[in-house]
Amino acid sequence: MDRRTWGLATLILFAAPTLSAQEMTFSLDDTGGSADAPAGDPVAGDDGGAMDFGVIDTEEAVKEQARSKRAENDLIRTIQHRPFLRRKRAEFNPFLGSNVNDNLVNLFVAGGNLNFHLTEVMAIGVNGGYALGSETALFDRVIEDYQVFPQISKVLWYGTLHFQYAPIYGKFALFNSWIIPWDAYAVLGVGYTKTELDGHPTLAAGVGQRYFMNRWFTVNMELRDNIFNEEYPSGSELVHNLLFTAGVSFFIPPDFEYRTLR
Amino acid sequence: MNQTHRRLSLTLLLVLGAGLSHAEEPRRRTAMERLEEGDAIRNPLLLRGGRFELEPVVGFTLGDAFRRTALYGIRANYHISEAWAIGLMGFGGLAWDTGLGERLVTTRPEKVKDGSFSDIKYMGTLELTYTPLVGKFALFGRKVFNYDIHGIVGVGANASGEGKTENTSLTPTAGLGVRTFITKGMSINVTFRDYIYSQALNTVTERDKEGKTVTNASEAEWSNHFALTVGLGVFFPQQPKIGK
Repeated sequence: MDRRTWGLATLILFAAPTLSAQEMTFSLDDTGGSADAPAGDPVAGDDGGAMDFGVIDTEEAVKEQARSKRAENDLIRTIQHRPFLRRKRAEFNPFLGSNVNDNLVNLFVAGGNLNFHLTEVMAIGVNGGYALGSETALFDRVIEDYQVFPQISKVLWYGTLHFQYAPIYGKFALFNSWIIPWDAYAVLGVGYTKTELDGHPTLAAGVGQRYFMNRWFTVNMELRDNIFNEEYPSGSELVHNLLFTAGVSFFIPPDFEYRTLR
Repeated sequence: MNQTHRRLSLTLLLVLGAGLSHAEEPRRRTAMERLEEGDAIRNPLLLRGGRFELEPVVGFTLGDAFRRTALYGIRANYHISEAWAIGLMGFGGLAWDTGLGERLVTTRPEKVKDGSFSDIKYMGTLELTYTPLVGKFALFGRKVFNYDIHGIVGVGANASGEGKTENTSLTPTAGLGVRTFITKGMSINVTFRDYIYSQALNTVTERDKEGKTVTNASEAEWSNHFALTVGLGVFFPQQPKIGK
């Protein structure tokens, strides 16, 4: 062989394995490797053309699991955002309810709240309701058994101006599947109650809960005591008109934005 | 010929193997998908499952016609799992006249004598508790508490009566409670219950045409009797386990 032939043969001898390896190289995607994996990491690197016969690479599986865990942790913020913000939003809350502490008169109440949330925990608002009342079976029984006409205070309507404070914020899991956030508030107000006998200045105090269904809609319930001095024919008496109401709230504007630190 | 067959078989096997391995390879789910498919709460404190709860209870009846009753008693629960518990509850009662009762005593003393109004003397029930709602809340954005909301159904007996007279009645009960854990081994429980039992509400004393005193007891009726109770639950063992 002449020098040219020897040179060609040497070139083929050294170049052939390299060419062969390049043809068998898998892309990073094929091997499941990561582009940002450290140099020398067998996961990210070339396997030199080794064929995959379905043998589980335990080291690779462990690393894949670690990567997956990191991805999950990235989804969890160090400080979780509240799912619902109220500041500078108005709330319209129609409700239905009934009195719970008078066994001589049943009241069916329909009404509404209109609140403006000054901060995440404080709000001012108005509350009003119209009531339909009816005497209970006990009322008739007292008349029959004791020949006495019981004195009753039948509310016709009421309205109050109130301040609301929501110090409790929570969440619950239903069947360990759905998480529903809620808040609990206390309310204090003054207003006016019209009964069948007369009209009276009224002090209102209550507690309530809001369950956040989405960014603009909540389901609410409230227990509110409207306290006033009723003038009965036999004398005046303090009356607690304790109402349990349930309703829904619509928040305006319907969406909100988080203000994050820069 | 044999060699050709062997080559063909080997090729076929490789192709099939590659196809199968490709078909069986599961689609890689995203972290978000896995979070959505998983439990809402991970590694929860198992505050109820496998623990005994002993709870001294006080409370009072609601919506009473003539007599209101203060209740005092104890409840013992064994929590079979995080969701289910079985227990016993026993109450005693101390009663006083409601506003209406007081007015009747004042305005119609001749018809209302001592013991004319019926009230609860004592009561005992066997109860099953189901807890579908568990959660946490923050008070003033600082202190965080675990809590649950549970439903109760049960059956028992009660003794009610007027003065020294006592009548016993079967008493089915249903209720709704909120248990707030103040520590891992103690909780404050607020429960609203409906006890359904047969009771003669009152007796009226009257005089007949000959001037003799006649006592007419009202007819016993099945009716709803509501009660609100507050209890301090103490759990054994004091330290809960941690779930997956």
